[in-house]
Amino acid sequence: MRLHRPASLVFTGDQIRRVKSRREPALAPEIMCFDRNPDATLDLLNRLRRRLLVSIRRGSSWLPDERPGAEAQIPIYIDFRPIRFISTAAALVLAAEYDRALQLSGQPSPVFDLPEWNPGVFETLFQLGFFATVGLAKLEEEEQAVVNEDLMTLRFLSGSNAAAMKQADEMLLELGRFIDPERELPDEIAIPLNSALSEAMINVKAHAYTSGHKFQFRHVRRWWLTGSADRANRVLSIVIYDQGATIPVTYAHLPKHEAVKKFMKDGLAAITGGRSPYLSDAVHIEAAMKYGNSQTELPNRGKGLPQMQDAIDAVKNGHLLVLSRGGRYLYRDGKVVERKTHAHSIGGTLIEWTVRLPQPVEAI
Amino acid sequence: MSDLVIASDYSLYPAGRFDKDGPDNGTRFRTKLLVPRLRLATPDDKLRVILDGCRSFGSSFLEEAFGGLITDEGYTAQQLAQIMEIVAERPVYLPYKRMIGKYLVEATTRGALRQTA
Repeated sequence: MRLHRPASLVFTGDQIRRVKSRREPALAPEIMCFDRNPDATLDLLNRLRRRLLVSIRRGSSWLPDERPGAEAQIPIYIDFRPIRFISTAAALVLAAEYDRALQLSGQPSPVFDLPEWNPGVFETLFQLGFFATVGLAKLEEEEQAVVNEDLMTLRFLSGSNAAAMKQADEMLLELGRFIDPERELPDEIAIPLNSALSEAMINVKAHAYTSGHKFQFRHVRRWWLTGSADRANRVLSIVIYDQGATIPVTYAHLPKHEAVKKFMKDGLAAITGGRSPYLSDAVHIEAAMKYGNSQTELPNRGKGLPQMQDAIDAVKNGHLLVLSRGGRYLYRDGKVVERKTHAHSIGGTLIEWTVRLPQPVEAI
Repeated sequence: MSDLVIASDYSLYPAGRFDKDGPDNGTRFRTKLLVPRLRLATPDDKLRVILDGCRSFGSSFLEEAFGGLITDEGYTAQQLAQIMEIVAERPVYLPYKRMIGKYLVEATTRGALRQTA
């Protein structure tokens, strides 16, 4: 059996070990982004998810015990060195996968060849708080060189309901201050976004981790939230992710009003070609965003998803991206601009609000 | 008129319907604060519920807190109009005032449908 090049890996306690992989490492794509390279990004995250959780399912450790005079061998690993850019949303999903593995096993999963990672990628993940999920909290106490002074990513929050709203608001305000140090983020932007976020958190609690669904992977009933700001372009974004049953799965099982049924029938009839199991996902997402999680038995419920979209109408100059299972939904300027299916599932639901702040009006 | 300022009397971040959603939920607001204050209100001394100052208003909270006055507490929309006024002084809070109005109408309609069923 051919053994490949050794890799160094770093895990809890900052212990570094050299190991050999029995198979060629799986390479992460150069661009990890749901906009610029969605299928390769989703594929990598799927493989990572399986790799992180299979050892937990088997009750075995990632790494063999160290034995004197013997080099440790692992079956395979994922090589993150090729990544040249990682978006905030992709970084959040990555962190959520490692965080889930940490919570389920109590042991951080290893990362490989850390000193050779792209500096910009390292900076994004460092600011996000990713390294705490892989047992490298000590790394976060060290001073890190700033790669891009115009970009900021916030440390992620994680929770199970809406109790963290104050922290989410502070996150938004911090992003606003990064772009405009002289001015507080306008309430006309902060309040609709906060309101949408609180509904997203409630939605996760109410729907995502439903006991009626058979999950492919064990979950920890949480959401993960972060934000980022681009000072040069005056753009901020907030993104929340859960590893739940997904909108297409839960929405398909809800009883619906006649108008919703007709909308979905028309939408599904328009789908042509392909045999992906996710072919109808974007239609389900659009119906849920338009009509809510309406249930005939509880018609007062389920208004949260439409409110998440209303926030974009309220703030103006923004867009909403929803990725749920294999479905992709993009809303901008009062209309749906994209509705499509990806080859791979995102393993839950991701919702991202992106807003371009208006130029400040100078006082006369 | 007496004022109930949600931001200072209850929470800057009211959210969700029930305790499992978080501590500042709609059921708690309605049962512990809103209904007791409404019991003291009269047509000549309405309760003004001030929305200004809060940092978020999720639809779940608003529907549970105000729609629940009709579905759970037995008020009618007419009764509430006589003793309660929803106040949004700044334009940014007007959409939430409109949402409350919509939820009161919907709750009334649901109640009427149940009675005729």
